[in-house]
Amino acid sequence: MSGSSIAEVSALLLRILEVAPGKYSILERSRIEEWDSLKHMELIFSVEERYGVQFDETEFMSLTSPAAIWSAVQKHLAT
Amino acid sequence: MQHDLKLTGYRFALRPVRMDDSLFIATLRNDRLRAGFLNRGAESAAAQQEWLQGYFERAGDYYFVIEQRVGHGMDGLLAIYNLNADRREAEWGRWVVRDGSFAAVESAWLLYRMAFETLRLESVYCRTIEANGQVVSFHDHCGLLRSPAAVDLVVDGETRSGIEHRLTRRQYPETARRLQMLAARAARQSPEPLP
Repeated sequence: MSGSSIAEVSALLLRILEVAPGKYSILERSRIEEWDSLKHMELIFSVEERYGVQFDETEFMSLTSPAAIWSAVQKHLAT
Repeated sequence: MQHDLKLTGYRFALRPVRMDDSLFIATLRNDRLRAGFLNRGAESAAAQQEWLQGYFERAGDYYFVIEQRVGHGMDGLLAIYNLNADRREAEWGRWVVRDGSFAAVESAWLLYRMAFETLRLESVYCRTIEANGQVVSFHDHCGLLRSPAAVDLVVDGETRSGIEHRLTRRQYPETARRLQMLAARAARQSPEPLP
């Protein structure tokens, strides 16, 4: 479940960044030049809509990989 | 230059740089993680004060602190400079946001409002080191157009290949709309026009 959901977040990320699958072997914000500040906010809001959660602004800048995003989503869904 | 231009957004505001910001400026610009593609600049508050003294006397240069509206914490810096009054254009830059801040999008929106609505410019341009991929990407995604020719930028005495982006008054509304929408949502507010 977690694995497939991280994969789903990864796919969402690539779609928003308009990056072809396989271009980056590691999906980490610091390694992806297309993952700029504007796209980061678009990604956060798309994830919120997809999973019905709302991140706190203090979380925004820590959501730097699909795994980190999915972990935060799970935390919000559990509360 | 000494100016009194201020602009308020949702979570952040722009206010003029003051002499007592010297330590913040020196510290932020010497943070190589956040400002590694900018000139290091003054390395101490005293040296920064000396630089600011020259800045205060220089025309056509508007340096701002990106400040939180609540609590007035400082999140970053940006500037509009090299103003050409005849062509109604200027450069913008010195843009750096502290680690952990999400002020980038809103500060860019405030910057463009300042340029086009307050200063009534016809266009603004910015020059970014090509290797600074996320900032180049940011300008691309904001809808700025790349100038056809590469530019050479000198950073800390080293010449680096750069990219020039430009936003014109005609393009400004669409760019502002997109940035404002994101800034408002990040602040959990409605993107209605601000007073």
